[in-house]
Amino acid sequence: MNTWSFEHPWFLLSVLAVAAIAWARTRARPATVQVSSVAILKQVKPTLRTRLHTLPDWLRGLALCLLVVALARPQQVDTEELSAEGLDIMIALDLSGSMNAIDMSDENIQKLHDDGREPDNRFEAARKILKDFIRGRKSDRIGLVIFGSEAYLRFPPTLDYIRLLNALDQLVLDDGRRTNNDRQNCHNDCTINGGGTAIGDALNRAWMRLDTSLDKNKQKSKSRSRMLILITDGKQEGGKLDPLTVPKYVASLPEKDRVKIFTFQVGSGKETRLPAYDPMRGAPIVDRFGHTVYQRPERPFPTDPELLAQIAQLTGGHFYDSYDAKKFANDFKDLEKTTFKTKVRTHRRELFWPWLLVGLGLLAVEVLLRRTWLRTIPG
Amino acid sequence: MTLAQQEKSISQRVREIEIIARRLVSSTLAGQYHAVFKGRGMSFDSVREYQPGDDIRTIDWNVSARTGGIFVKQYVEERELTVLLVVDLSESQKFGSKDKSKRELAAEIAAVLAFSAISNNDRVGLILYTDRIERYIPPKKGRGHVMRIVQELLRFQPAGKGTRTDVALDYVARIARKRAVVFVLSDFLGDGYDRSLGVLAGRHDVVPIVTADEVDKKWPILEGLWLLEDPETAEIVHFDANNAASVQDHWRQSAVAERKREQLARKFGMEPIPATVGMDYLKSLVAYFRRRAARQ
Repeated sequence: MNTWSFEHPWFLLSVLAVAAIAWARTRARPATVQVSSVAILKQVKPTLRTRLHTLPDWLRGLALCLLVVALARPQQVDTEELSAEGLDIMIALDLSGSMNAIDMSDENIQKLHDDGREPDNRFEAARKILKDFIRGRKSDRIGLVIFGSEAYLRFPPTLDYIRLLNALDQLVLDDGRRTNNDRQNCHNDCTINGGGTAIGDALNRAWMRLDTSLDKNKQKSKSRSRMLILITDGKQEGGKLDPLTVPKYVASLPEKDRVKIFTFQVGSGKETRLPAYDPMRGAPIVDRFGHTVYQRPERPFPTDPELLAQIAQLTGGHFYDSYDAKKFANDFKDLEKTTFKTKVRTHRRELFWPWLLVGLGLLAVEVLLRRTWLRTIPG
Repeated sequence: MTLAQQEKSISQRVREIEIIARRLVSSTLAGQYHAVFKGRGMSFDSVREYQPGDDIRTIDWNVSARTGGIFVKQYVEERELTVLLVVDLSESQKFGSKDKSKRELAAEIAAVLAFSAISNNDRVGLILYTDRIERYIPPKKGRGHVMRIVQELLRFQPAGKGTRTDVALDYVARIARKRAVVFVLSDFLGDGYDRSLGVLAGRHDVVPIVTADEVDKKWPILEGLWLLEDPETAEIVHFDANNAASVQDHWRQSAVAERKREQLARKFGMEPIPATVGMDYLKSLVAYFRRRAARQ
């Protein structure tokens, strides 16, 4: 991106002064020689010189305008997103069974059904948002940790977004009702046991990966800024590590080694629906229009926003309470805006020199003309 | 120059002009004016006794019969001539590239004519005009009257700026009942006076005296890009005096305009007298008088 701007745009108002001078000059009568009558002189065929007698005035006006522009200091501003100094980002995505819930009232679900669409559950919403996010990045290495009852690394930090997006696409939510057959069909570690929410383990995996992700020179990626994004809908359940272990450790590190953890609590809203499941057929219940039938959960899902807020606060990140899909998308946009937009460098190239030089040149030509070829009597 | 000084210089100038004019009238112009501007016919004056040598045709028989002697009628030439000096005081007349302006020249010539008229026992009147009638001094006789006219000529400050010669000529036609000699002193740079001039020429003896300055006719060798202003319209014109074609063009066009003026005057049976600043106007005056006397 490069744009033009003025360092001191207020100076452009001096154009008004130039206009005032021009106006005053057209009103002021020049010194003249009175003759008897100009009736005949007027009819004399004009020469080049008489035709051009206003040229110096125009030149001066133009020169002053150019100088005004030079005074306002035009600059070419190149804003460049830095390619060399990308971030290392680890995303810890909750793949627990509750992620198949929908945070939407019955009326809204009905509305979507009327439009012939199925509502996105928490997992699908997160997947879409993450995909958009990844596509918007250029030079950040992004890795993915998924977690349920345990956590493991799905993809180490990479610039190979295509494969990362592929991995995201292949993720399958384990809603606890999958058959072993399903699990076998899913190659390549595309899912995880959804019967838990091991936040502590997930943070640990992600942190370890960030801390030890190596660049080509086998050095720790400490030279790069790092961040961790935790997306979850539940409360710590299962897992070996206390969720605050990693944040506390990170907080104890020297400033430059710290990693900010941004936490998203999805689906804390009141309206929560689960797809109805037919245990006999082992498949979701579908109504006669082919729409999935949703029902209220038997008991509300346990959430723990205080914990997430604490994690964010300890590490200098930010906690987002994304109670529904819409809010989630907005929150993620917000994160992108605050975290990534500052990473641009602006080059300012001064452009006033040509204006100044041409302006001064015109002034010189004007004075020269006035003194020589277009000198009038009386002066 | 303070007002008092100005006043003094004008008085001096009046005096000067009087002296110049009187000298001219009694020497160079002596008799010329008289010979040219004669009255119309003779009028009866008185009767006197017949003396040998008198033409017997002049004997008044009625008076002779009544008195018993022989008496002859005596006539005098009718001299009661009215001279009107119509002088243009517009701004263009103020221009002068040499020692005096056209207005001063016109004043001088008018003064000479006034003194000539008065020495012939004629009545002299004055009309000063610009784009309106500025001043009218009805015709009268006497040296004091002429002095007043000369003073007015030099001192008067006109209110108008432009030139409306037609207005002045129409005015003269209105006020002059008897046939008069009308000297119109102007640079005749304006136009639109053709009709008025024709009307006036039909009833009076109109003599245009065309005041001019060399620069009006031909641009002098003064090179440069000139900013020239018209004193009457305040119009500004750029004139490139370095360009020979421009100077030539100006000269040609002013010559054409002059020829047109002359043709117009001749159409109405008038003979314009040129008076250019810096040239001897007396010569042209005398030449005019001579030509005119020869014609009669």
